[in-house]
Amino acid sequence: MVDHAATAHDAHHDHKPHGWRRWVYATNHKDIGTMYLVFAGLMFFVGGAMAMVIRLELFKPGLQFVDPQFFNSMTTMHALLMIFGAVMPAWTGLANWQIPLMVGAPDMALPRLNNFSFWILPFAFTILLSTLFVPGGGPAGGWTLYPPLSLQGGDSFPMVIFAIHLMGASSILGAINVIVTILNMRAPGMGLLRMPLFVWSWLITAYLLIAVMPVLAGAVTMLLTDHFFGTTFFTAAGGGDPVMFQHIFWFFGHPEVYILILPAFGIVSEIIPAFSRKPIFGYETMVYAIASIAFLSFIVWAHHMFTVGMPLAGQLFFMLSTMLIAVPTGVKVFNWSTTMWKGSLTFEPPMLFALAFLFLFSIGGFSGLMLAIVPADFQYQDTYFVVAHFHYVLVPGAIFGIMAGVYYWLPKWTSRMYDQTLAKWHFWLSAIFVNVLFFPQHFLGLAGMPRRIPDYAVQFTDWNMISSIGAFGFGLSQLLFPYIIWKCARAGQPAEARAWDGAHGLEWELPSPLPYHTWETAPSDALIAKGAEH
Amino acid sequence: MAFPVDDPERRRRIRRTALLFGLIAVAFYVAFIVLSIVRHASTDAPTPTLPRGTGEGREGAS
Repeated sequence: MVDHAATAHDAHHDHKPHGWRRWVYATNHKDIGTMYLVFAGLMFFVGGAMAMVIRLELFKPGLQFVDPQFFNSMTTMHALLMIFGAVMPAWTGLANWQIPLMVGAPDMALPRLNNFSFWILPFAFTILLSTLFVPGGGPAGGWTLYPPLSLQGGDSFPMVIFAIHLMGASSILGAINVIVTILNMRAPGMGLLRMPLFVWSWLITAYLLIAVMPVLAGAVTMLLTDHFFGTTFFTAAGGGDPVMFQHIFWFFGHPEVYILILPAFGIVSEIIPAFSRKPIFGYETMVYAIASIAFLSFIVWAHHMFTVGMPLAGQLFFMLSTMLIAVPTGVKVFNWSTTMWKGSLTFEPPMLFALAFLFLFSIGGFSGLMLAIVPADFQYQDTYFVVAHFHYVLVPGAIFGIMAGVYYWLPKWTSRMYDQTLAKWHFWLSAIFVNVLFFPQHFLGLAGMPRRIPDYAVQFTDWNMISSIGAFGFGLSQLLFPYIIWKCARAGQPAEARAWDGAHGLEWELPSPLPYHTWETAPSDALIAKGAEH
Repeated sequence: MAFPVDDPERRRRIRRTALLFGLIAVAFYVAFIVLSIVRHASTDAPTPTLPRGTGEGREGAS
């Protein structure tokens, strides 16, 4: 009788809602994680289509396909969609899926808030995308929204501001949920320094989000009042200061870069040990390095604005503090390399993406160091060199990190193994084309080609053509990604509970297929100790 | 073992932590607007007397 009652109890708990109610009223962290990831994928392709328009126009000099205003809308919208619509929701999706599984919690701490955080996003991006159809077109002043240019926007202006407020609210609520979950919902015995590095990276990312998303909200609120309510925060005519907007924006903007990249550090720190069959080298130093990077991200913002003019002491401070970031980043690269040293390496798709991350993100890091040098930055500012730099950080950095994570955990989520050959094709095509796309942009920038222009001088033609060919190749090869996932979910071969033999962590101790509710009974200390072999 | 989330004390801690971080977020939002107002008030710029966009009244702004 007792067994029967227990089974009935479990069956009740494993009951999952069906139809639209399962998604609209979702409170299960796995369902919400899936919704975030699907939404991020959708935005990735919409933002990617905009990138194709940009590269198509830049294939050769002269105006071919779009007018300059629309071109500028494309660059602005591409950035907003990729940052706030693709990368950030993808990380939140991965956090939703993985954090409860990895810390031994039955769900996120605030499931209804979790639902609310997600469902804000479709409304925010519907508003943002609909600006393309209002009189005056979409926002065209760049994602940085610098006044006075952004204040001259048409009907799209208040819609963009409202959309940014909504995205910010979603991110802040999501971050609160992550912090509360990690601080209060860890299984007994899961001490902070036993947590997987992905969880650590997200905890620190969530702190960054709480600190800087409200700053962005404050900045755009002031833009709104300048535009509609007669204030002059950033209007020189009323004694305001447009440069102050840049300070406030980049106080948000630079930590934002780390919000986009720190979870990738966490994922790579999970994958490299798994496919090297060795514990991570220097677990604690990895934690301190992530925390140091997060701290330093708050004191480097003005390196984005050296050319506005600032005292020499300010230039020196921001130059040196920026260079200091190379130290903890170097610690991380050293630890990843040392983890692989004398390991039994195999090169499945997650490891390939993690290794590409390691090499290509480092290129982005080095060009970042070049940009930190004040006199050199005067030359590079607002050129394609900057475009090349941040795309190396964000595409083979953040995007490859997300892909590595999806390929790593997909067999756990679906209990099926994906087509690894196809995934390797996806990797090699992405890795080759991303370099064809972005590496020539370094040369264009050094030769003086400015960013955010639809036309250019004829001497820049060759590298632009190569870059555009890379863009089309990269864009097309990304179509493989949803196909591989769809094929896996529909007809993949059954995967073992521990899909990768070198994988450690509580999530791999759970059975496959994953029950709808997991860790309703907290994992034992022995299980936690086994998972925390780092 | 029932999971500790059912524990009322745990629930209180969750609520407290969420409120704390919510308040921190609101504080950052308000603080940056207040800082901007304070900085704006400290500059002795002339109040514009003409509609914005005319280009006049900018001389003393810097």
